[in-house]
Amino acid sequence: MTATLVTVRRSGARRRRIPVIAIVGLAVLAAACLAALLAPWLAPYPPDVPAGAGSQPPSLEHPLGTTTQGFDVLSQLLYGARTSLGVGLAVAGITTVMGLAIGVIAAYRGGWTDSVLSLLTNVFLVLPGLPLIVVLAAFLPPGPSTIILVLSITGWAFGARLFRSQALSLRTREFVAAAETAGMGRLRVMGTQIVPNMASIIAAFVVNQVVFAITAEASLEFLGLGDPTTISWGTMLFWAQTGSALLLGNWWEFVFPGLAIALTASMLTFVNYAVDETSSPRLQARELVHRFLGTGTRSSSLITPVRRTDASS
Amino acid sequence: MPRPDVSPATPAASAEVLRIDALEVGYVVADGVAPAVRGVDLTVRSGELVALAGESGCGKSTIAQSVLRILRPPGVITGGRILLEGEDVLAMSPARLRRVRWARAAIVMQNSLTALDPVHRVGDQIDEVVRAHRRDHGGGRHRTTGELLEMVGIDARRGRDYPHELSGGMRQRAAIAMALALSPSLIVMDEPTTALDVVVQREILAMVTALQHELGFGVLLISHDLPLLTRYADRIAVMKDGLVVEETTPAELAVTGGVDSYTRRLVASVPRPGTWEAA
Amino acid sequence: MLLLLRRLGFYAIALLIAIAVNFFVPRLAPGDPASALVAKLGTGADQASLESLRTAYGLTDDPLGVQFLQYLGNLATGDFGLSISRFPSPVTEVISGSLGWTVLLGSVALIIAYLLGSTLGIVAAWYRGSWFDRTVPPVLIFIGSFPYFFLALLLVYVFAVGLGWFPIGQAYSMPPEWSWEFVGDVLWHMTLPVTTVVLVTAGTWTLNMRNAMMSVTSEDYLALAEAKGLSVRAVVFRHGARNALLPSVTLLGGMIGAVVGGQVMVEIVFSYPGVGMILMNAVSAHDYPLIQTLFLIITVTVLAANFIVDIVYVLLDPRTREVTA
Repeated sequence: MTATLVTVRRSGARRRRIPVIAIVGLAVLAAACLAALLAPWLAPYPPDVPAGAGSQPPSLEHPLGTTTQGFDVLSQLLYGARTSLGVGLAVAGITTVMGLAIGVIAAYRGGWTDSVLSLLTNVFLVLPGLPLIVVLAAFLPPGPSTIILVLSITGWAFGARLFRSQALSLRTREFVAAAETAGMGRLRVMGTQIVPNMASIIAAFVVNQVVFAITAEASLEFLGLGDPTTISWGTMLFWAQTGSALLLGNWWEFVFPGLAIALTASMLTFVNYAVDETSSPRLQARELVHRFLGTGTRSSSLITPVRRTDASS
Repeated sequence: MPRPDVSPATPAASAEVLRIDALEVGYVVADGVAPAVRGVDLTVRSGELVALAGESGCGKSTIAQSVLRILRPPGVITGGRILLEGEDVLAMSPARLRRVRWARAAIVMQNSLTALDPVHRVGDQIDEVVRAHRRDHGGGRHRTTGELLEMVGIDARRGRDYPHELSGGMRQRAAIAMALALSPSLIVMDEPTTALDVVVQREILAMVTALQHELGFGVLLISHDLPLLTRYADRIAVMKDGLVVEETTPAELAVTGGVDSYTRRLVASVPRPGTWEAA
Repeated sequence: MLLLLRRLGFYAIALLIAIAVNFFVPRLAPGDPASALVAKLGTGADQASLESLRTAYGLTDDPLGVQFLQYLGNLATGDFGLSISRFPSPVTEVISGSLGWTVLLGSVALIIAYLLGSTLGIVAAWYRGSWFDRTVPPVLIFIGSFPYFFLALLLVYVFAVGLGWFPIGQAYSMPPEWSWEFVGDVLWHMTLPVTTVVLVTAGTWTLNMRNAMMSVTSEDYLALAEAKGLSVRAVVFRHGARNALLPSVTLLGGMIGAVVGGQVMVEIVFSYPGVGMILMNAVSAHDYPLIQTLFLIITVTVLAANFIVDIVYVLLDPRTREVTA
């Protein structure tokens, strides 16, 4: 019995070619995580002790310069990565699990459960994120844990809606019905049939959430809602702003942490976009024709091309 | 009842409005072209209703869409000629094709709900095609949208409605009215009644043949509904696997039940409470 | 219109939940809410501030339900309490005026980003697979994944501090008056902030319109439009884009709440006299009545904007309207 179900599930799953750029992007993220983990060994100076004269531009001694208070920017960047990436991954993980749980349950059970959960989801989707986050964070002790908590509370709704609609469409597929008639419990059906078939959607979502979390965290810390004594990319920017690094001309104080955030976020977003693109069947149909004809514009005008394959006229 | 010869409302009553010669059409796949139409000859004359029958996948819809070259990617035409009033569609430039489209030949699609633009009024969708071709028809006057709608049995005021506000049958009539807007010599109908109920199907086809009497246009009707075709078609071409396996008339079909084995199977598979209504 | 009424009801529920959040969050902080808040104030907390807080939160000794009703009553009469950082000014006074600037900035940025992004998306979709389609959307998405405040800082640094083409901040430099000169001054100050928001959001519009166009072009009615021999322009715009607008407008509603957060950051970087600056100052001063009121006001604005979008959608899609006899 189990064997039959596994076979059926496999035939329902889609196989996707993973493009090179996705692998490159994920490799970059992995490298960043590695650098963060190895910060104590990689960083040339301790991040929280003044390591040199203040406001030094990048030099051999301090490759990324020093802040107004004399902290080494590179070391701060490496140690800060731990907090920033850590929070990002934590929030992504929590919101994915929450979104999955709520979305799949709502889709599968339907009825009142679905109505209530969907209403809740839609409310949290329509309420503006940042003000809500600020209200929550303002009353709690500052720090990464608060940020993780607050971002999770406000960030689960997106996933809940996405996974619900996916689960709804999967629910009517044959292998789910087969599992149900075979007497499989509802929880097991959800866990072993529905969720695994959403694997690629879940993966894309997690990537998205990491981007959201890292950016949101930095924004909160920039506003002053983080713990200024912890080191993260966001707090580095906070200190740069309050220390008027801009007006002093200390561009390195905010460019490097900002770039770190921006590059991490954009690389991940890009990965998602690239994966999306290569798996579109419509592209494949038009691409096939374009290659076959060997020439011509790519306009979507509907004029069926004529390419004679026989020798006569 | 045998259909009378079409009295010439147009100059050449038995002129060919559509002539398909050795047409080959395929779909591009990873390692070449998969053939869908493998050498088909077909002719439609003024005032004639020619039916193209066969099971799904035989290539009849492909032919219907190829006449106006609106077959979507990965479709590709690989051989033959399609002559509309003597001019080869496959040799036309895009500019020429745009002028000829709808003016010489128009198409009525299967699902009128998806074939009509949902955000524009029905009347506007008819008006726009007249406006678009205004330059080309310097001579005669076109019928107005109101007249066209009345001709197909729709109150002219319904032109202000949106497609979703009309019933399925009315929508299809509106689509036919739209097809007649530029007085084309050929109308291609791709399974136009499949989505409608039986009574409405008959009404619409009866209306089409009546209009043919009056206006003299030819019709290429794609359908898999054999009983319907035997009642309204002048000639029936049966297709299988990209080829026409038999060309016959309803009268012959009633007598022979089909010469080709495939035709015979097609005829035999139809549930029939009565006899053929060929005469 | 039933659809619109249902949406209105939904927004009412959302607002109620927002108000409830405002009510319960201070009570969730450990310990006696008022003291906990006061403890955060540090020096400068005097009896008057304490009382203001107490009344602002309805922190009386009545049961919770009664307190909530009192709170609702206060809101209904426009009593949002007194600001702590600008004691004893009422919160509404502190906020007034700034909302207008935020809405101005937001509307202009939204319109420009939407039009620009959507147009690029239409072109990208029509020439699917061309160099344009392969470079423009990815580039916009790349730029769009930068955090708002970072792009703002970059723009300020390069164009204001560095090149001096635009002012570093504020909404205007001359005393306000109704003249073309003033309008020009305002526009000049708005350029960089608007550009920031447009850069971040344009990619989303492009991608959305592009995907919407792609699914519309595979519809039967577009093939029919081509079969009718209509011009390319008529096919693309009258039939293609006009239908692709529908999912595009739907996204518009969803994006408004998200863009507000980003815009707040931009306002802070540019010292723009909108709600962003007030929020930041409120946060650093622990001015809770102000923070909470800002939350409510921004929420109401966003919900109202969403409702306007709903109306626009009904106007655009005849299928949502009741069938006229």
